Amino acid sequence: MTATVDFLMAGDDEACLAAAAAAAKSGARTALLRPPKRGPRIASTTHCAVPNFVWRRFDLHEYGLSLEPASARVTLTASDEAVSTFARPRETEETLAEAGVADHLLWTAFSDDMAGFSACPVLNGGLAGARSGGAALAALFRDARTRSAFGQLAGSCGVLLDDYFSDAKLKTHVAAHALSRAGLGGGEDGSAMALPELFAEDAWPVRIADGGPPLYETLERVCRNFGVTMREGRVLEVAAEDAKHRLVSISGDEKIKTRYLFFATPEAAAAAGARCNHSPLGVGGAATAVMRLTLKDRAVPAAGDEKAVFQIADDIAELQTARDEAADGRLPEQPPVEFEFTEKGDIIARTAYCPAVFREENGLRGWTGQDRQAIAARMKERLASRLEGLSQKVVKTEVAILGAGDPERKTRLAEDENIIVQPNRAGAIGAAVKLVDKVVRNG
Amino acid sequence: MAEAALQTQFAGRIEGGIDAIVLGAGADGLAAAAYLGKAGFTTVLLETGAEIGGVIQSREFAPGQLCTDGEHLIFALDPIAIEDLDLYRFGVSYASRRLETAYFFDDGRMFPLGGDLQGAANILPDEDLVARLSAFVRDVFELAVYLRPAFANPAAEVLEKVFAAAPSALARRLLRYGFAPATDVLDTMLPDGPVKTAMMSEACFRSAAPPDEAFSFMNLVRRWAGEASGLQGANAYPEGGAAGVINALRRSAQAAGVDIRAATPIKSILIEWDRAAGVELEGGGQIRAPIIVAAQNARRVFMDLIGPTGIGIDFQRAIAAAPPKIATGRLHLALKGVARDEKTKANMRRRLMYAPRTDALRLAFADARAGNIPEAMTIEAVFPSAFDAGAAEKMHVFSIMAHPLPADETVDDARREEITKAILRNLEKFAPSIEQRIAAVDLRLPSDFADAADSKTMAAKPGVLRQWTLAGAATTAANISGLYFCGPEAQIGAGLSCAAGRVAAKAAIRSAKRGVIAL
Repeated sequence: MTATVDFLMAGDDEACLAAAAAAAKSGARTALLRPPKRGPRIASTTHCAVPNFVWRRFDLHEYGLSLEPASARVTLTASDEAVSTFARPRETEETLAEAGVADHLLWTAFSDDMAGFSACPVLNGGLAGARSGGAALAALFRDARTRSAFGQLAGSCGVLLDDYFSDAKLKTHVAAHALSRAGLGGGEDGSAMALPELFAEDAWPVRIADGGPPLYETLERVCRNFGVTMREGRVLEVAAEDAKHRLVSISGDEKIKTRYLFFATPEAAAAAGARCNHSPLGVGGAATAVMRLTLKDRAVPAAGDEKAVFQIADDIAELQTARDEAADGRLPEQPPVEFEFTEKGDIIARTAYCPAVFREENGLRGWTGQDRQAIAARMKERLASRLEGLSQKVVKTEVAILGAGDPERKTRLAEDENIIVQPNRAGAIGAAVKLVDKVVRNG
Repeated sequence: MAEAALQTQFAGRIEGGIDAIVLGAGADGLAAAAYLGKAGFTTVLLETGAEIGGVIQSREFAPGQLCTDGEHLIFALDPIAIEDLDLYRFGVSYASRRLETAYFFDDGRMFPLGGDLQGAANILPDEDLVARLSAFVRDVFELAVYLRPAFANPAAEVLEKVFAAAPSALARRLLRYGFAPATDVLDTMLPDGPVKTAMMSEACFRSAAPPDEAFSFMNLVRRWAGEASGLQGANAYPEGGAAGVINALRRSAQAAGVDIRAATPIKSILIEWDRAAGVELEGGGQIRAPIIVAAQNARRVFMDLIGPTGIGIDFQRAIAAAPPKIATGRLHLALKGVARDEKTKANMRRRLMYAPRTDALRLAFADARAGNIPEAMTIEAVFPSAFDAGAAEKMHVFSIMAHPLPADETVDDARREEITKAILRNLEKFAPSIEQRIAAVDLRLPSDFADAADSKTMAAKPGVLRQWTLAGAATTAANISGLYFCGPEAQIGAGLSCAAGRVAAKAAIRSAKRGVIAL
C-alpha cells in the first residue's frame, strides 16, 4: 500500500527533525525518512542555533532540554594565536581592542550590517520553496536596495570582509566560522551569503547544558508527540504522480506519495541524489567528516574555554585551497577544522571540506576505510598543532562521513519545486522551520 | 607654441547648440552616437584617445603583419542595432559566417561541431549522445532566447518583467541555470567525454566563475543568447576583423551627422540641479548639452568625472568593487609559411578551441585566482589571415584568446615571457611544433591598456546574476536626469555587442520626446 503524506522529510539531523515537527504541528501529514543506521551517530553538542521561536513552538523546556549559549567563537590561527568573538558586540569590541586589533571599532557596524542583509530574499532558505521561481528571482531586482544587497551577497566573502576590515586574522576568523559549515572558499562568488547567517537573530550557537538530554533525542520525542510517522529507508527515485504529488520510491520496495519532499541539509539531499539549486551555500556538493576523539586528559586550547566553538585555519586563503581540493575530488592537504568539547572533555571535530566522491585517473570512486583514516589523520594533525600534547591523550577515534556520494549514481535534477532542499547550514534548525512555514503558507 | 595659443584661446569657450554628447568612442559609444544622430539630435562624440574603437584597434605587430586587439570573432553583435543603424549597408560583412568549431583535447583527440548548434549534434557517432546534446542545446537555447531582453537591458524594470513573466518550466530552469555551477548542470545533462569537456570550456570561457562555483553555468546561456548572421549561438568572422565592425559603426555615425572628435579628453561632467548639463574639457572650455551618454567605465564616469559626492554609498560600493582576479589574454603570432592547399586553407577557416580536462580547468582557475600562471587553459584561436583576402602573402597571423589568466596589475618582461610560454604550451597540444614557425609574438593583457575602460573590457566577467546587479546599478542608480550609461559594466557577458549603447541612446531619445529632458 502506498502511504500518502503532505511532507516527506528525508534526513537524519536535528534540522530535519525540527522541520518534521514543525510540519506536523501545523497539521500537515508528515513522514520522516531516516537512513538505516550504520554505527553510532557522532552527535555534536553545539548547534547553530535553536532560536527562541522554535523553542516556544515545541515547548522544548517540557522535555527537560536545557541549552546555554556557547561562550565564544574562537579561531586558532596559529599555535599560540587566536581571535575570539562573542554574542555581545560590545564584548567582542573590547576583546579585539585588548588584543590590539585595529579594526575593533568596526565590529558593531559590521555585525549590524550583516544582520541587516537578512531581509534580502536570497537568504533564509534562499529561493527554496518559492512557488514561482521567476517571481522569486524578480524580487531580488525589485528595488535598488535589494538589488545592491544581492549584488554584494553574490560576491565573495573575502571581498565583503575587505570592505570592513584590514586585520588578516580577524578576517580569517569571520570567514572560517561563516564558511566552515558549507565548505566554501573565501574567494568564490556567492560565499558572502554565509556572512549574514552568522549574525542573524538567534544565530548564536547554543550548547546542550551539562547533564541535559541531547537535542537530537529531544526533537525525536517532539516529532513523536506531534504524530510524525518515522521510518527507515533511502530515497531511490522520485516520479511525478500528478500536478501536486510526487511518488517517492524508497528502499525496501516501498513507495510514499507526498506533496513535498524536503531535505533540511544539502548532505541529506546529496545522499538522495538531489542538489540544492538556488543558493551558493548549497553548491559545495561536498561531504563532511565528523570525528570524535575520546581523551584521557582534557586538552587546553590557547584561547577560549570548553564552552566555545573553535575553528582551526591559518588564513582565509586556506579555506579556498581546501575547497578547490575537495571540488577536484581529493582530500584537502590541510583541512580547516571546526571543533568543540563535550561535557566529558572529549573533542568533536568536523570539516566540510571533503569531496563527495573521489576523482581518479580512471573515473570516480566512493569513500573507503582508508580515506576515512586519512582524513581523520589530517584532522588530528591539525588539532594537535593547536592543542599541546593532544596526540598522547587520544584513547579512541571515531569518524563518520556525512553526505558521501555514490559514484554510480548520477545526480538527479531537482528542477522540481516539490523537492525542497534547504541550502544554509549555520542556522539550519530555525531556517528549516521557517521554510516549512513558508511552504505551508504558500500551498 | 601654436597649440598653447590655441589652448589659451579656447580655454574659456562654451560651445552650445548641441543636443547630445557621447563620451568614449568604443563600439557602444559609436552605436549610441549613431542612434542619437539618426534621431535628429545634434550629437558630438568625444574620445580621449587618438583613435576610435576603444579596445578594438588594428596595429602592425610585426613588419607587414596586422593584428586587431580586443575581439576576433562576432557572436553577440546586437541584431537590432545592426538593423537600426544599417550596419550591413555601412560595411559589416562576414568573411565567414557560422564558423565550425574544432575542439581539441589533451589526449590529441579532436571533434568538430558545426556552426548551427541545433543541428550539429547529428553528426556525432553515438545516438544517445546525439539525443542528450540536442536536448541540452534545446534547453539552453530556449532560456537564452527568452532572456535576450534581460541580457540587452539590465534595468530593474526589464529584469523584473522578464523574470516574473517566465512560464513555470522556464522559471525553474532560470533558477537552476542562474545559480548552478557549470559542473553541476553539465554532469547531469551530458555523459562524460569530449562533448562535456568542450561545453565545460565554453561555459567558463572569459568568465571569472570557475566550473564548480555558483553562477558559472549562466555564462553559457548568455553566450548562446547571442547570434551571428542570424544564427543563435554561432560565431562569425567579420571582414577586416572586429575593426571592420567598428568602421561600419563609424560610417553609420558619420552618416547620421555625428561630429566625432578624437583626442579630446574631458575633465568633468557638469551636473546642475541633478541634471546633466554638459562637459568640461581638459584643456578648458565647456560643451553644453542636455544629454550625456557615457560609454566609459563606471568608476571613471561616476567617481572621476562626476565625483563621489553626488552618488549614493551603495552605488559607490558597487562600482568600486574589486574586479575579478581572472583575466583573458590575447596573443598574436606571425607564422612563417603560407598554406597553399585548399584542404589546409579550409581547416584554417574555423574556430579552433582547446578544451583542457575539467580537473585541469578547475586547477587553472584556482591558480589564476591565486595570481599564478595556470598550467592548462582554454584557448580560442582563429587565423584572420585565412579569412581576409590577400592578407597572407608570406605569413599567417594566428589570433588567440587564452583563459583563465591571473589579473595582474602590472606585468614585467619576465612574467610576460612566462605567460606567453604557458599559452604556447597549450597551443602545442593541438598545433604541434608551432613554435618553430613563429616569426613574431605579441601578447596583450588587460594591464597593457592605459585606459581603464579598455582593460575592463578584457577582464573576465563575474557570474551573470552578479553582472545584472552591477549593470542595473550602473545604468540607473546615479539618478541624474539626462545622464545615460553604457560603459563596459552595462554589458552583460563578453563580446562586441552594442546593445548597451542602443539601450542608453534609446532611453535618452524617449526621455527627450516625452519632454523629460528639455532640448
